[in-house]
Amino acid sequence: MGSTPYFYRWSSSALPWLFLISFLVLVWGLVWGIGYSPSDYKQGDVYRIIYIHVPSAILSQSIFIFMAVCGFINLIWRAKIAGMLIKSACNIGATFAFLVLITGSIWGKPTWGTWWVWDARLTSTLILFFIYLAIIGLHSSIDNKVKADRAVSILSIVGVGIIPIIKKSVDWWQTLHQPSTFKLTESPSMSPEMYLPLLVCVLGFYFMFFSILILQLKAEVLIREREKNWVRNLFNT
Amino acid sequence: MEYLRELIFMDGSGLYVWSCFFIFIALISLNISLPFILIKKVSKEIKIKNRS
Repeated sequence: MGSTPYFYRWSSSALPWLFLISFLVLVWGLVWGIGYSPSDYKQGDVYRIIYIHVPSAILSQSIFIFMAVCGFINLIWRAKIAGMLIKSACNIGATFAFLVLITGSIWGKPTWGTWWVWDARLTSTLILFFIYLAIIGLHSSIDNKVKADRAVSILSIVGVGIIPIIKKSVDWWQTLHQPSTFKLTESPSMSPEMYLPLLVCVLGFYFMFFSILILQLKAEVLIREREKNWVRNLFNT
Repeated sequence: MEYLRELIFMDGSGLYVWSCFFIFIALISLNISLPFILIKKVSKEIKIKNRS
């Protein structure tokens, strides 16, 4: 997988299948959650935003951890594909961070009576979104891609410190935000009819992330290696 | 028909839920379509360069 020509050929054949699986799992989860799960006794139907909000939140945080791991690999082993992975994953991570802020804001209006509060969870998630934007900006401001990869690797490793703060913000500070939906040490407080579609949605979001990541990486490989012989030969046939 | 109406309006919550859904669809579509367009554009440039 470290070889870019091999990756390019593999991605061309794998992408249609990856997108098909992602699409099917996402449709399964969203139709089940939005269309068939029971209403919440307190919030009514508005709680169904959870099927987009919670998977987006999980993805926005796990993508950042993934970027930090890639950053570590890039700095230690100088693997160029790891640098490309950070660049590709960052765009998707920023999208999910934006999505969690927007859907949270829309959910906050009917439940809290306001679109936004400077609450610990919301503010730390906003900082995560700004770090994503900083990484995108930093990468595009450096012409030398090897140096740009190294710079964003460092920023990803430093920035990953925001993740435990986001995770623990609801425990450390008084917040309007509810406690985490997923906890490894406790069983869920939601009923299985609500919880299971949420798990399918999370799985669908992960599949979708992986598919878009491969697609973005394919574009990145093509842009960076356009002058190489294997790319020229690829388009000669 | 009644189920469809309930699904769309959701007792007044429909606007909130569906707006989140459509923002999600729009952002995911953008994330998929932009690299596709980029790949097409770069491939075309490489093909033109190869011919000349």
